[in-house]
Amino acid sequence: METPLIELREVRKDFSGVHVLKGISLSFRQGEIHGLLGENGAGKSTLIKILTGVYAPSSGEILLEGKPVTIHLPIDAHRLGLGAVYQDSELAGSFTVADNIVLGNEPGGILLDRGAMRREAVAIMEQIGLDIDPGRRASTLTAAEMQMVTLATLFHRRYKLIILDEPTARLSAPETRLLFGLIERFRREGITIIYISHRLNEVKELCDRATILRDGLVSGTLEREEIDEDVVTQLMVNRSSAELDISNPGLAQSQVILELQDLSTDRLRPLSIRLRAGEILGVTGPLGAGMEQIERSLGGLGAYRGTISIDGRVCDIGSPAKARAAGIALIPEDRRKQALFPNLSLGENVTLPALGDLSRVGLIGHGRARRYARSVVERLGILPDAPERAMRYFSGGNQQKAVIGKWLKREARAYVFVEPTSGVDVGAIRQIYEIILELARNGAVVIVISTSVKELLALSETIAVIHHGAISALLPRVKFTRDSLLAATISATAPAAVAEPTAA
Amino acid sequence: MTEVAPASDGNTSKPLTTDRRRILAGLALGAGAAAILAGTARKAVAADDFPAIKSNGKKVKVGLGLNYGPFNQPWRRGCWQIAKTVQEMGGQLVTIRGEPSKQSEQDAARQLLDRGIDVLVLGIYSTESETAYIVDDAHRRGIKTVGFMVNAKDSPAVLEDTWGTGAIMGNWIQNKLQRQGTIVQTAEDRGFYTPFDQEVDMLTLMTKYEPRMKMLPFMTGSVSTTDEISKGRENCLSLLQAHPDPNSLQLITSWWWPLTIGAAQALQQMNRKAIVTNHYFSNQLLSEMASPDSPIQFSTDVPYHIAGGRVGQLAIALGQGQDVPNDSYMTPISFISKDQAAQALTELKSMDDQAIALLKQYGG
Amino acid sequence: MAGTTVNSAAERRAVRSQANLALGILKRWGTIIVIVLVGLLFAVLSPYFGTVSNFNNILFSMIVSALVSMGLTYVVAAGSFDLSIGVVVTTVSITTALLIPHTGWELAIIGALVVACAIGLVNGLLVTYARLSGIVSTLGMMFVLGGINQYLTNGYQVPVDYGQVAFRFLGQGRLGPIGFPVFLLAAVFVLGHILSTRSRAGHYIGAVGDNPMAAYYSGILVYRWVIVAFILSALFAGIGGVILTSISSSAQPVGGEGYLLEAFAAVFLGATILGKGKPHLLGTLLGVFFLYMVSSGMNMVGISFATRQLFNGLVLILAVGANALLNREEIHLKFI
Repeated sequence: METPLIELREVRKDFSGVHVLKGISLSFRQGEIHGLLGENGAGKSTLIKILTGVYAPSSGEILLEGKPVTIHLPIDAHRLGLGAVYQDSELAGSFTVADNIVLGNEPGGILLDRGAMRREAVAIMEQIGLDIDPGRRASTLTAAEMQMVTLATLFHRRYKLIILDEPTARLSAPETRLLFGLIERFRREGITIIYISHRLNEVKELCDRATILRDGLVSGTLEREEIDEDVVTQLMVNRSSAELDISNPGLAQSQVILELQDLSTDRLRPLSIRLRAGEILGVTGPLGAGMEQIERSLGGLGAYRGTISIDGRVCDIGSPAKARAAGIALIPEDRRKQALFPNLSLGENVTLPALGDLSRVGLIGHGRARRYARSVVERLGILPDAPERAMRYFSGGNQQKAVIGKWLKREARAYVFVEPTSGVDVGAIRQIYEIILELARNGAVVIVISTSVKELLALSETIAVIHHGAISALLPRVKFTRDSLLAATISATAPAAVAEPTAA
Repeated sequence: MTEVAPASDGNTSKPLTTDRRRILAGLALGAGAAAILAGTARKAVAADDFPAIKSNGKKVKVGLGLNYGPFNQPWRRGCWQIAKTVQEMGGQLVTIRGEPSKQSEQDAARQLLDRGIDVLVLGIYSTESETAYIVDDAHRRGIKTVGFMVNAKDSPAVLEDTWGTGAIMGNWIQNKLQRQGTIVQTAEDRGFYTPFDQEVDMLTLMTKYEPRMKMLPFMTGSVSTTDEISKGRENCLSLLQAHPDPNSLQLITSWWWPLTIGAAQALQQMNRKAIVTNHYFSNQLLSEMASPDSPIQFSTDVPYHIAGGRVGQLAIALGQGQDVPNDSYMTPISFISKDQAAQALTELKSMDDQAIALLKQYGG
Repeated sequence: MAGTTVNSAAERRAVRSQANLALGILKRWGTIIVIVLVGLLFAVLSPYFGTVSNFNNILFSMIVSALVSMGLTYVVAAGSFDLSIGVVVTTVSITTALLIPHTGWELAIIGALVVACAIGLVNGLLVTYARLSGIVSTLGMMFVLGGINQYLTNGYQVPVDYGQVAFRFLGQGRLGPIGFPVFLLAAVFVLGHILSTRSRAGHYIGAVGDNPMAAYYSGILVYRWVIVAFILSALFAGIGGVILTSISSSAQPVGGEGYLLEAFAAVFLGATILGKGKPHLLGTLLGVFFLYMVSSGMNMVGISFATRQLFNGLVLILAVGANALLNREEIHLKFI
């Protein structure tokens, strides 16, 4: 039996009394793609942080190619050839793409050989099939492009082990294929990949094996053939997956709340939609093809032409403050950067937008604020139930819930969700869907912008597909099947040849 | 304005009273008699020995940097007299406007070297070492140099008599207190303006030799970029707090007028009595000193206008090729008591008005 | 009426692309254009300004300030601040003057520069391993050095013997019409430029300043390069101190403080040059030149003291502000 590349023996980790990893024993073979699944809080993030040196294990052994190693700093992991691409991939914004790819491993001695740097970067990008101008400043890249560049960087460093944490969260279908091709190539080079994802179809397609973590322990390891939604869900949450089916029973009422008339931007052609109270509109399409523009316009983040009306009144959504004042709540995708204050506590984050309501005569009523925070935490099932803890210590899914929690008191007229369950575990997904449905039930308009076909099919009453800056399909959800919606997204063809009159 | 020496340099003077003569007699330096008898090796001499200079008619271009700021009124008076003297002796003044800093005055001096001048006036911040390179450059080009309130390498200079000032202050204090009591000094931070350091050291030395006198540690008054009146008050308040017994402090000597005003304010605030002496006149200081309630009783001053006049003469003489030894000439010392403050103020204001008017034509 | 609207869409596009081109040019060259315009203004107002000799004078005046500012550029590029640079000039100057009589001038210079590096090392260690902020630790260092300067000199200046001809040549010598220290400045600039743009050290310092997390995760030793940046800052200030000692034929006990604010102004003004948006050496050098050119011009034209401050401030705001206006980010949320 050949030596595994990495073996973990009874690895434990606790943070001041909170036991996150309770004894993980696991091994990863050389050249395999190994999936890692589990609810948030199950310990996946902590495990990969231990492997990459951000945390040191409280006890237990790690063996690399059969020999015990200590990984106490990221530099140790770097030297041993272990690396990760996190959900928030970080690049040096003012450096070029080429510089970022070779960062830390530039050819040359004391003086850098810029020509060789660029050549290496270009060679890598060609190998991968990445089509980005290497001279572009990294700060101008989109989130998806940043991720691809980060992957190119790891490829350049010739790591032995690469951990990918929800890599497809921000990728569209074609970009996902690109990624898979890259992963295949990595495997052929003998690199071990740990693939963390909530998308079971991806895991099944890619991974040779998959391990499920539950409550800080290994719940089970499956071979590829054994990977099945029911089995996995069972191992993750001890529940059958049937309970997780959710769908929108049709909540739209008759009165029109939100109307977009000839809404257009530099990248969006004029678009007109009327949405009724309780209606959930799902919006999808290839990344960069225009759905982001809806988010930006409604959220007050960019200039637009045309009109946006709420309750019949034309509103000038010139800034996020004006959007809020008009009654539009935007829950963005990049929650950490755009929606939360990582160093403030959970309670402070959640009550911040509601301070106006919670204060009297300009003074914040601390008792009321605390009670409010607690009610939000309970309602959304945020774990751990610790409103005083700083936001950055919470897992991705709980952070997302916190973001939603911020808006609950405002009673907005329209909610715009962007990738609401990206990086969120199964258990939390259900809760978030239920919250969204309840918002609709209470009479708000909800727009869900997402690249997850399954998500849109679960939540929406109406679905719009945006291609090349224009609506290519706008139909009631019932007109779509999973395949036809996927096809519509990829190739801009509406199902059933004829596009029927819009839902409005 | 009262001066020590009889008028040998063309400026008006007031007749000396008996009080002054007593003070004169007590001087360690400065009186002509002492210099002759002692035959001092030091060539820096008192007012009497400033040479009489006459123009030989040759036209001379004198370069002068106007670097004073709005708070440097004495300096401005000095430049006024330089300009006036040069004009009266048939010369032409070339000026460049700068800022009150070492860097700026050196820059201005170097720029003046390119203006076709015959003589360059250096001063007042940069020391001899720091302007050595400018002097070397000037001499290489055939331009003569003279120092104004500061020494310059291989050049004559007109300086304030810091040691004399310290001595006069020391004598007045010792007579007033009958050589008994505790005194304290304050001035700007050590190292910022050497003349202050010299005066402080002089007074310290004199006090050391009086067994019944005591000097408390020096109070450092920061530098001219900060609010020195506040600093002076703050320092004094701390001092008075530390010595609560009203008999524990008899006199405060401040070598820089904003610090004096601050000290006077502190005394009033703490309702304490002490004598305050000052160095350097200013409008604000003189009006306060003239007030009968003010504790300021005595003040010395550096007569920049006299120094300026002498620099002007030296510059013309140098430019005309006259034989001028490279000596440092000390300027006589001015001093007044409380009853003369009001009159001094009037004279000062009149001089300032004339200074501003004349210097306007030179961009000052 | 119909005829005028036929090509309007194409015309509008053409006009817009022309405007974009002009905007691009302004973004890149805007600050330099302002500098040149101000220079021309002074040249017109005073016949003595636009001369070779005055140009020489400006270059000579700015030497120490330029060195200090260039050193600061490294620290700001690394994402920190160094408030001790001005006092380092004085300390190194004093050290040089004190050593010369004992060790001869060559070893005195080396000794003084070693002292400078040691100061930079301490600053760097405080900011990294001791986890103090750059502002706090260098401010503390500033006061400590100020005290040390007083202690070493007792407030008196330290002379350099007039006979030290070789040493004095460094600051006072001339090669043709140009002062020798100007050549020294040029040499240091070239080396510094190579260091920051072509060497691994400069590249990593920039990476750390841009995104310390990304640098950390890519295996770059973040602490090491921050420390290097502080050492460079102190070293450059130290070189300035040595040259100042030579020019002044002495070491003054105080006087370096003025360089601090000038350096910050120059570094941030320089960041707008060539549209870089982040501090770089050439920009800093041009920034210092601009400040001294303005000072010289105001001397020549004879602007009064009160107006000077006003003018200085307005010009600075104009140069930096124009650039900010042109490089407007989507949302302005960076207030430093």
